[in-house]
Amino acid sequence: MFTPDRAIHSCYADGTIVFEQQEPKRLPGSNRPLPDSSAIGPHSQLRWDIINHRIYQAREFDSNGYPVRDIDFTSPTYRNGNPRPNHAPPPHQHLWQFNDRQIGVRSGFKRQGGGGSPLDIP
Amino acid sequence: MRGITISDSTPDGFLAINLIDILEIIAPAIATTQWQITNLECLGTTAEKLYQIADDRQLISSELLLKLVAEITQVIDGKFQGYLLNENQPWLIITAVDSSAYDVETVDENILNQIRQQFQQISELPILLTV
Repeated sequence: MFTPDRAIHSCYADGTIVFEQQEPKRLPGSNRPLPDSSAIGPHSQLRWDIINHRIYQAREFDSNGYPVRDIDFTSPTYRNGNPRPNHAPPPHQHLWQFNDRQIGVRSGFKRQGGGGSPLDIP
Repeated sequence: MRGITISDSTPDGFLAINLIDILEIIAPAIATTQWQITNLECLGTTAEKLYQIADDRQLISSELLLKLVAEITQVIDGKFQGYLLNENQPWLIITAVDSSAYDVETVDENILNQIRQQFQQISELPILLTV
């Protein structure tokens, strides 16, 4: 069994590893994901991996500034680097929804789990 | 240290549990535990406060953690390491995994048994040699 001396967090499609404590800085938001205040219309925010020099994650917003989906360019692994069996391989997507569809935006947002799903390419 | 993964989901593909659900089950056992939080991404009215604690690498009590996490609606990512006083290795680690699961690792098998009894989708974590 491969037993690295550093804990592994996730892995890109080409096998490049992201170690724990080297995860890129999170995208803006606290109570809800925050869109870019200077953006007009639908847009994406990119989470840049300064260690591996590539995009780690993209977050898409609609014209209202509501989050639509995250595209993850890595998938989480076990700490020893083995893939998690119930997680979609990278890249994969997680859709965003209102916490309560009846209430709408005032209820806040939640991000889909389930190990993500294969990327929908329009 | 042994561990389990909890992945109870709703029919529409959202994780059915939150961190507070786990902490409340094991609350008596963690009364004297101090927590360090890393790689946090979460949503809720106390998210900013938790970010500040995580980014400053502050150790916080279980009492404060429970209070703050009660106002969190979703933890997308985050590693919560529990330490006993004067110990430099965690005895309990709870990890939120990509809004899809929680891993719970501990040296206390009773904790894992308590959690196994409360949730439905449980799998054993492989032996993880690196903390």
